[in-house]
Amino acid sequence: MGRRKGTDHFDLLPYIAILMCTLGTLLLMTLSMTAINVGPGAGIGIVPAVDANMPTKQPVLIEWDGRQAFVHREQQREAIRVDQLQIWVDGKARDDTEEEKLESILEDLTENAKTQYALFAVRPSGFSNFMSFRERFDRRRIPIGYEPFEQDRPLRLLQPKFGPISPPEP
Amino acid sequence: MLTNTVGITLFILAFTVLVTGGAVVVRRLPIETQNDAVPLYFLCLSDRVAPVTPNIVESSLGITNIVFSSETDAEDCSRRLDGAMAEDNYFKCKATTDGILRGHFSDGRSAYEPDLTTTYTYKPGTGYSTNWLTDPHSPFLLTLATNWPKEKFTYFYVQTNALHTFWLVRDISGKHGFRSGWIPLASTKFMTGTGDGVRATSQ
Repeated sequence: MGRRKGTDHFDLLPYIAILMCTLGTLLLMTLSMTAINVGPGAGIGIVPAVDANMPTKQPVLIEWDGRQAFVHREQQREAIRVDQLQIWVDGKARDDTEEEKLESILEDLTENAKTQYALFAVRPSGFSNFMSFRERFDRRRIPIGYEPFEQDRPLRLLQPKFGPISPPEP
Repeated sequence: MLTNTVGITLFILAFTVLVTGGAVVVRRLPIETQNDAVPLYFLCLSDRVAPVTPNIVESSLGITNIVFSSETDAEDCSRRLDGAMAEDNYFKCKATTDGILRGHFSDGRSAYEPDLTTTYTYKPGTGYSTNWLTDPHSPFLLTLATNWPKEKFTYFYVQTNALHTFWLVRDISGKHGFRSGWIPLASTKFMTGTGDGVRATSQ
């Protein structure tokens, strides 16, 4: 069983096998990540519509899940807890601090009703009481738009591709 | 060479993760608008769409107008409607009234109408299958084809599990020139009526 001279070599086969396995794993990971990120994991970018017949307004995105309103302002997402029962009883949030937060947004939108509107992203869990929640905006004549979205789909507001917002002609 | 290939694949993985991590599906969202167009109502279910016929109970009783200049006439009408039931292929409907609503005609005369609520209950399994919606002979497309987009808009009652159905039918109606609106619905029952409530609007 002695080794013959001239046939001593380093066997590359295990090394190649490991590399091939690594390659396959990496390819699988790449495809999986792509499939997840582009498919169910993709966020939704909302672009406000541009309609020649309507004044263009800047949307303030508000996600509604039935218990909390998530307001997207200045690159931040502020959560406001709105108690479901209290909405139905008197249209107000229970907690004063939360109520102040919501009131500030309502006032802001009321003041800027000519250039801004509330854009609601309604999650399925918020279907049952969304119409009650929106009444608070309706009472102040704040223009609104709303759209259903999947429960866990991440959302973000993209900048519309039109010029600066200006108030409509009186 | 194989090592290089692994390196390149690693680089591609990192690049893919970075790029697709921020992938977004862009959606255009209109704003709610008031107009004089009349809604065409539909109920969106997970795999079906059912047309909603308005004033179904009044029609079954031969009542064509529920706004009166006489309070007595309105009360008579209210009594006829209270508890009345009707149905079509898709819904069972029950009307209830709760007194009389008072208002004014455009010429200033007093107007009276029953405070009417009609509850629509969906008949399971009825309606148009979503697989059939784009068929040229589908009732949904025929409904759109027989209406004028300037006079009508589509309005959808959307259940929690019917988001994709809603997006599909809205796209179809949009391609036919119809504006559309929607209202969230947490059950297979819904109500329409003459009192205070949400007016159907397009977006």
